[in-house]
Amino acid sequence: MTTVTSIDHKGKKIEFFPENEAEQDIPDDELHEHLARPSTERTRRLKARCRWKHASAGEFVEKGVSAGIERMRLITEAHKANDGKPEVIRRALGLKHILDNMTLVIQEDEFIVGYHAEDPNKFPLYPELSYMAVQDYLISDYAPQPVKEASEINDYWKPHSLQSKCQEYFDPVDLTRMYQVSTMEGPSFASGYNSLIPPYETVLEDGLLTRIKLAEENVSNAYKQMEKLPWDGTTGLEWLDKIDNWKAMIITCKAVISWARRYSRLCHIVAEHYETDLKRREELMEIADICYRVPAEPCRGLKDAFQAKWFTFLVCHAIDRYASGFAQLEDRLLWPYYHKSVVEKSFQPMEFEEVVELVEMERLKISEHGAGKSRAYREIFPGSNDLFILTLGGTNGDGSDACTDMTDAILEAARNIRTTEPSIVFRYSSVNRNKTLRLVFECIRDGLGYPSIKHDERGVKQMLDYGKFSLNGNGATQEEAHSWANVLCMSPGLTGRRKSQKTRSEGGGALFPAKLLEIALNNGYDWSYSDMQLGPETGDPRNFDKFEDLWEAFRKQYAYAISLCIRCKDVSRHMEGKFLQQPFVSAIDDGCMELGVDAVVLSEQPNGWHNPITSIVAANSLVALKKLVFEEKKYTMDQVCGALRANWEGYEEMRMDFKNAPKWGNDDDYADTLIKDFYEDILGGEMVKIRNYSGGPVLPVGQAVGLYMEVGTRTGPTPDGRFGGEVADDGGISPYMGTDKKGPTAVLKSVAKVQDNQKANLLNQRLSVSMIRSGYGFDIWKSYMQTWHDLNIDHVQFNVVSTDEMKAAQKEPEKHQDLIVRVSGYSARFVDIPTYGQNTIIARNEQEFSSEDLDFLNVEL
Amino acid sequence: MTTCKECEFFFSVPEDADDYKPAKGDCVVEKQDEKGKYWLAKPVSEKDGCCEQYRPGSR
Amino acid sequence: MSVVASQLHREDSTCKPCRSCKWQIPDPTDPNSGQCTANRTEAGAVWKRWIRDVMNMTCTRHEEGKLSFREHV
Ligand code: SF4
Ligand code: SF4
Repeated sequence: MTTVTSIDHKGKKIEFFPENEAEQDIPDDELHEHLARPSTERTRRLKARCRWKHASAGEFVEKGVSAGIERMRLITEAHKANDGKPEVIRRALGLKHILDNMTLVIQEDEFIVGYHAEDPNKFPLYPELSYMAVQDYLISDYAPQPVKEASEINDYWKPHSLQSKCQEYFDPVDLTRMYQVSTMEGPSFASGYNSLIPPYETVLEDGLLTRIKLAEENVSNAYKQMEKLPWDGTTGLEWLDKIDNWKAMIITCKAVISWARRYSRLCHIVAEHYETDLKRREELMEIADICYRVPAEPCRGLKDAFQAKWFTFLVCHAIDRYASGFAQLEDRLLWPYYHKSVVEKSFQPMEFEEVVELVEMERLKISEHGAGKSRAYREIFPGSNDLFILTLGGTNGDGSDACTDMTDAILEAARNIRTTEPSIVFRYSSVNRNKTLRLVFECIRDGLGYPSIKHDERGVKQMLDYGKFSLNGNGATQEEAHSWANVLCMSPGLTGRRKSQKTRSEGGGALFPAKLLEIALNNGYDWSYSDMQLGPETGDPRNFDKFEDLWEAFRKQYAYAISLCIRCKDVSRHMEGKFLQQPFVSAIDDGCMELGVDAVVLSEQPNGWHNPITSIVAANSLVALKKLVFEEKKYTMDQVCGALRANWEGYEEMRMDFKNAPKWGNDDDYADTLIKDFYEDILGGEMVKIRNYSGGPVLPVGQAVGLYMEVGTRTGPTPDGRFGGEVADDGGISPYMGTDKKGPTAVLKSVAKVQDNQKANLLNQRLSVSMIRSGYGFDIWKSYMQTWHDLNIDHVQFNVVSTDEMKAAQKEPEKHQDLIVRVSGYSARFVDIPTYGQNTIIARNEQEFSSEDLDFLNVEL
Repeated sequence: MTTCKECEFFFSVPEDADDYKPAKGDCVVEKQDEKGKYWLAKPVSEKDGCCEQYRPGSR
Repeated sequence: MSVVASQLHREDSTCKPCRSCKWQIPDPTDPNSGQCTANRTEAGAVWKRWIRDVMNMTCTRHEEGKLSFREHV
């Protein structure tokens, strides 16, 4: 590193030299190409040949990636063959038919095996979810072959699809508004997007044979109950659906065991007939043994646990139906097996280093996992594969530190192997051990953009608060509340043997305040993107004579949008309960098993949320309007409307006034007071009025993912001085890029002011490379984190990457394959992001800590 | 007609397997592309007509 | 309303539909609709327009082809 920063602090000059002296000779613009250090030759090879499936702007970046036809063919055959059977049994037989007949894939060097399509370069599609998403694939370069057959399959599903079943219940105008994703994200029934947290614990602890036995006992008990005399039809008929659900659970568990054992057999065949290397042959036999035993039986060691977890992930997230995410509290989930293999060495004995290798291999499996997601979702996580995010750290039920050596192995592997996926969330608590915090820091310092940090106590309290609304009075207990993990990028949800999220009514999906403000300034009409009425008529803004008129007009646009969004999610869930049951997920959930209710129907723990994205563009705009139009009266609303319609052309002086108005993130009370109100009274206040499927309130999770770019391009000029088509703010509660001018601690002070009616809020910070990589870096970061924690802020994530390196990568992408950046909520390979998006990351302020900042953080240097 | 049964890539499903059916087998083929070697397995029946990847050499 | 040929407009069964234009990418949800990305500002921003019907709309900037993901958003 050639650049060395220095500051004067407490009377002495502090120079920030790299902590690792060898780095002094590495040029700034290629630093990240020198940081990977796969822990074994095997993981080095696996990374070199990884079949990445990153998408950007709706396209797959790597050549040769395409949709497979196998899954859609198999689910269609089963659906036709089982017409007339109870729907949940039909769903179970659908999964069974896929698992029994799908092609299995094993690749060289793999230790964790299993894939979800007929070729490692392919991914499956889901015509039973959204026919539009499949139609889009059919006209793309990634169409399943033969296209004619795929097209016929999609036509078959059109009337049966979740999309068709739900669309019936909406005004087509509302749907047109949602499908274009400008004021609202499209409904999940039209995209097929979903998220869940599989209860991995039951698979690892019990094994599926035990789950089958439980279901069989329940069925037999149900028949006995029905045969009791005298017959009571008011309660007796409830057993019918339960019996179907339990039978469906049995069918799917048996099918999953049989599929895993097909893998076992394949390993044997490859070992005996194809593999020439003796050591690999032995290893294949070991994998064969593991796949024979798990997930049928309980896991006995760490290798078992990784494999059982992977099979469960594939079935729940990719084979039964598509669901984004890799949600789990991974260190806690694996710790008992780590203990058996590494500490006790009682089964699959191994050393810490071998655990690191296993984690690296799992990271590479996720990196090449293909998601058959709709175009909307191939646009909004540019430079990555999908939202694969796991959680670590935090506290146990008794408040003690939950970090273990398993936590450290996961972090060490992430640091070593450098992959964009899976991203990591770290639950920060003051009791977390220093050793683990150092590893968290090293990942961040090395520019991975993860772990992103969440406030542990806030998450625990949130689970308990939501639990109070449980419809069956069985919300999170104190112990369970401590086992939360992020469901996707930002929002906590329960993990464990029951009560985890199973579908999208709880959480996810966005709405866009910047665009909502734009249309509020046009009586609900969108002149700049869609040329149609996008929301209610809320008045001609030229007639607004008080700021409150504008405030209330925005509120009405927002209230309309949020109710429509949540209605879509709930209607979707209602239909899933009738036609898209998930009997395998039910089988591994203790609640569903006990009650005989399907996983998408049963809701024990409410966890409703929705994501306002682009809030700061709207909030800064409101601040500027309040000041310049309604208080100082320097401009009229008529002039504002004219200037915006002209995209500020001919109004440059006026634009500069709006651009220079007070902005969020500078601890400026004028801006912050109004913006706090905006978040708490409107964004949160209007959401919290809603009750969703699960009986709980809905709360905002301020986010961005890549939608700040997408929605930026669909949003005209705004009164914060932004031009039409320019990017919006990059995350939840993050200052607009380049407008946080008072340093990193001023940002924290602003953000800490927003507290009420919020579930989560994303804070993106870009920190000085030379400071963070210096010998002082860890101390500064630790003090920063403690201050952040004490200010009761929900979240923070960091980019530690230099502008020089990003610009060099724009010029010669092929030389910068290992440059990872935090976009927002996920990390991406920089060179796989479109230029528009790359520029938004370069434009973020690289925050340097001044002497005043260091004083505020109380750092001793 | 030549059938899968006579193909080198056909492996009968053993009788004690969960998915055993008479005449059922695994078709296991080795593939190679620029990313490396991999193996694919799919269920076939020994009576199925052979495909273009057929290689004589029944087991 | 008068039609400005250089701007997106309806033209039933046009031989130069937005669908085949290099500036078009499909709508995020409904592939019968699309997004026109031809409008690129000096500062490098892409200011999109929604295309209601990609088979029956066009403008004089129509160019056959496809842009790489790098040039889109
Ligand atoms: S499907 Fe083809 S390759 Fe496979 S066993 Fe039959 S003939 Fe051989
Ligand atoms: S440039 Fe014209 S023809 Fe091309 S997509 Fe845009 S509106 Fe359609």
